[in-house]
Amino acid sequence: MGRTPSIDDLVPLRPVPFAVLLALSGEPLHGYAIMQQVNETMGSRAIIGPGTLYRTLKELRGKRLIEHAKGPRGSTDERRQYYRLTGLGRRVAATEAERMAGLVSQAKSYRLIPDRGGR
Amino acid sequence: MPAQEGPLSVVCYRFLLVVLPRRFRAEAGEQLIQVFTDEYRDLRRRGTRLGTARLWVTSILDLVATALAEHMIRIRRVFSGGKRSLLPSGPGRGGRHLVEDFIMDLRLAVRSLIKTPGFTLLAILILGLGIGANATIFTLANTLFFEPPPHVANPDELVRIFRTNEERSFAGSLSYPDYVHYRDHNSAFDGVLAYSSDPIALTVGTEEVRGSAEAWRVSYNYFDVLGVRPALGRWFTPEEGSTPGTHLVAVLSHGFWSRFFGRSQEVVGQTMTLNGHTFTIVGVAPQGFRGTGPLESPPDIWVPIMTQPVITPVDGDWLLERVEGSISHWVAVIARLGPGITPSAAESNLTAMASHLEETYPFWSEGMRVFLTTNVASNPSTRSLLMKMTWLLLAVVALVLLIATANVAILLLARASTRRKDIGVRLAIGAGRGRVVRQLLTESLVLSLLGGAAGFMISFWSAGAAGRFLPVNLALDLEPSVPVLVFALGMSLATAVLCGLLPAFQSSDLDVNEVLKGGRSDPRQHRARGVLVVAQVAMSLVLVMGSILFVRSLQSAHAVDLGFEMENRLVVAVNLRNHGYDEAERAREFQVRALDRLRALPGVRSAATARMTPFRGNWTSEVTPEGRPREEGSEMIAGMNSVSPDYFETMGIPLLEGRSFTRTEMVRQDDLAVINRKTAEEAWPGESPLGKYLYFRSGEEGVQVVGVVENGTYYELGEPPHTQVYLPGVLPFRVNFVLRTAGDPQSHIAAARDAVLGTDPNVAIIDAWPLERNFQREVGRFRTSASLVSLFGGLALLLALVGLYGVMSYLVVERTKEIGVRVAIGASRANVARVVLWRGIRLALIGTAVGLAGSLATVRLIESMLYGITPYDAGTFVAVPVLLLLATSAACLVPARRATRVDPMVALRSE
Repeated sequence: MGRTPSIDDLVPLRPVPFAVLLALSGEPLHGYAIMQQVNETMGSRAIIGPGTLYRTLKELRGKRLIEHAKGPRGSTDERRQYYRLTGLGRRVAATEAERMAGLVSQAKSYRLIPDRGGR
Repeated sequence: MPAQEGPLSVVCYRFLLVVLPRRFRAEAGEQLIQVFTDEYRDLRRRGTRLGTARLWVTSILDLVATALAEHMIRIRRVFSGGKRSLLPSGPGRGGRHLVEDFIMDLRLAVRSLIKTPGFTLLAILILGLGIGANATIFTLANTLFFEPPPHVANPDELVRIFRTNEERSFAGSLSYPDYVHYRDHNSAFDGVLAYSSDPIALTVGTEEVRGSAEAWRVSYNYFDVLGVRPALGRWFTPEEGSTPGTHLVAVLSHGFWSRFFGRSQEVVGQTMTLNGHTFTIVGVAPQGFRGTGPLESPPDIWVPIMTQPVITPVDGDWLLERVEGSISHWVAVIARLGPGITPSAAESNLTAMASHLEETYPFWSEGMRVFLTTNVASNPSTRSLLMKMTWLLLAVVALVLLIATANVAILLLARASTRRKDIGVRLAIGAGRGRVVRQLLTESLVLSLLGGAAGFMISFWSAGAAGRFLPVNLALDLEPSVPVLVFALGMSLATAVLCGLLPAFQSSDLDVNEVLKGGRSDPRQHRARGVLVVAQVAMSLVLVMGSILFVRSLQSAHAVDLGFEMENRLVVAVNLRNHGYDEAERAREFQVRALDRLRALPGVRSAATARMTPFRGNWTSEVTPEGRPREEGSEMIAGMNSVSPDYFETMGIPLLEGRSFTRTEMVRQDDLAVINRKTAEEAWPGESPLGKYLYFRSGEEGVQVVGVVENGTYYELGEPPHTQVYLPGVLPFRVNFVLRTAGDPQSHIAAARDAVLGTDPNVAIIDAWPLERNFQREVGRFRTSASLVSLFGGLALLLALVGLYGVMSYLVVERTKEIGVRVAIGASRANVARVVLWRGIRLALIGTAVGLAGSLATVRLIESMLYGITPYDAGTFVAVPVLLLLATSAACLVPARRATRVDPMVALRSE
């Protein structure tokens, strides 16, 4: 536990945790809002439910990538738990995104996918 | 809202969380429920049923995945020698054994069930029927009381407003002007809507097609207050709801749009004729929208209330305005609470407005109070009637399931007794008793789950059928949904424990030595079986008793002398107003001509007209009989009707004294009256009423009594005798032609329509129906309870008989040796049969006695649902036990006969 994990230990991320980090890259969100965004990002490939979401949040929190946060002003429901990225979480998400961008540009250079930017 | 409550779906979800490990549930449960609730609310707001179904599918899959993953973590922790062992385990028994044991038990159970397919199928069938009956009634209850209305946004913000009196003794509709007042002057609501769910029959025409449809009249803001979005086009505008008869627009239901317009996207802006007037279609409602509750059958078309004068000119201006001397309460009112307003605050606001109305318009509003309910599905009295019926049915099906459970328990006991050796051996070689119990329980679990699956499938078919029995027009699809599935699952688990526990414990508790030596069977098993049979017989007696009481009540409702005959009578309702018959004389002439044509029809015995038909509303007036002073306080209230001369003959109402009217008197509308016996007795006790006068409040001239007819039933079944005064002729608005037909009145509808239209093709026929339908609606509630309860009572009896038969058969098989010995030492066949029969009958007798006591204690609960008989009906209390005893004896006969055929040589050799 005591050791601060390095970013390299944490990437690559599985798709769902990565989608959760992406969802939280803006303002703090509560569970259902995260779930909606994740389901939107993932499209039809996978639909996550409350259980999977909670397990993912727990895992990410254990790795200190996200933390509890206060809800936005005006949110009245005490029971709703909000989450936001930690500094580490933000760096990990960025690293993962860069890693993926690298993969994408490689795929383009092998002409696996059309290079839209170059047209 | 406290965390424990919420929509049924949320409650179910909370329940499903039991699949998660306890620690995980404690840690995450509330958050999971929160997310689920958020999503559920969100979907509801968008109002898609499909969405809810998908939510359930994903949520269940998600729960299963989560539960598996979390359990795996715990199990893995145990194997990797984690600090805490999370499973109860002895030395050397890790968690793997528990899982492995279960899988092994499962395999054993399936294998042994397959080996005895007859037993397995019978048990599944019995449990399937029991659970299916429960799932059916649960589906009904769920749809009636829990399902939020589709497409309506935030239904929990809606309230229903009722008119009442100081004592709050009824919940009535409001008048339209009052509704407008509340709508425009309240400070509590986001919106207030009004509608009349009393459908009006329309003749619909487009250039291509003609047909008929039903319409609701609604306030212009109806859909907006409910928060429904149109599937096509728009809803009504405030202008369309402000002036009578100027804006002829209509919204179509999704179904009507599909049927009539083939889902044409261009329908908005098209016109169609409704009762001969051209209406413009402005929008189409979303599929499945049916207003606010499952009890009102949704219409084909919605039109603004302001089209009233055009669409049904029969009814007067008093529907929309306060007209001197007239009052009509005809609109149902629903309101959406403003943000932060509680229902009680809203009610105070309404009460203040009501007292303002009372001061301003004493004639229309004197003594009027208002109240609101947060239940928008139906009015309180319908709801309480349905609630009562649903509770009754739930109790009945719970009993049926208990009987089924006892039945399967008996089967399992019997089965276990044939396996005593097997179990004895397992115990002897060191299996723990707990292990054996678990294995036997697994077997009943498998049976119950299969039974539950069968029951769930049965309810798919039966829920729709059960819905048709209801006394209300429940025109919606009753489909088992996920809550029903969860319910069936819960029922199966409960059943598994109930029917498995006793046999499992009993049959695993045996003296190994005794069993292995081939000793006799255990007397405790017989006792257990005996108790189960007695319980079954007792419970089915209660149910059969209940169903017979309901059937007899239905019979007495049918047998009651209504004072008129309703078989083979046809009613054709015609609207004459705005068809050139505004003048009374001409209207009556039309009726005379139409009656001649109708009478001439083949198969029509006689024909008459009447303003009122039985069980369809009332018309009363204050009259002063001759001989009393004509002043305030001396009047009597008389029920009124105006009829043609042949009415009494056509309806089969006996003429007691004097005569009916003549045709000339009807056309001239002479000041004559025929009265019923009750009126005569009340007005002139002990004197002949013939030739005497009755005076109405308006008009100096009284009407002279020319005849007296027998009393009848006018408004509702079981009413005390009411006064009735018949006047000649019919008012020139709405006329009911009543025909006495030879044979089925339904088959004369077309001819009767043609005859009326042949007299004048321009009049509008409102509706035509067999008179019996008036009565059917009235007895509907008795019929419902009678048919459903009898169905389940029959099922219960059948199950009990099967149970008894099974027990007796096993008894004979088990005692083959004993019987063999008896025969060998000289017992006659009759002796043997008597012994076996007596065993069965003794059980049945005890069961009957217990059941009788139970019936005496419980029949009072159904007293209010019976008509014409007391719940302690002596005939029923004697006949049912006797019949039950006969039936149970019959069930013992076959086993008894089998016992007489035991060959002593074979029986003694077999061991």
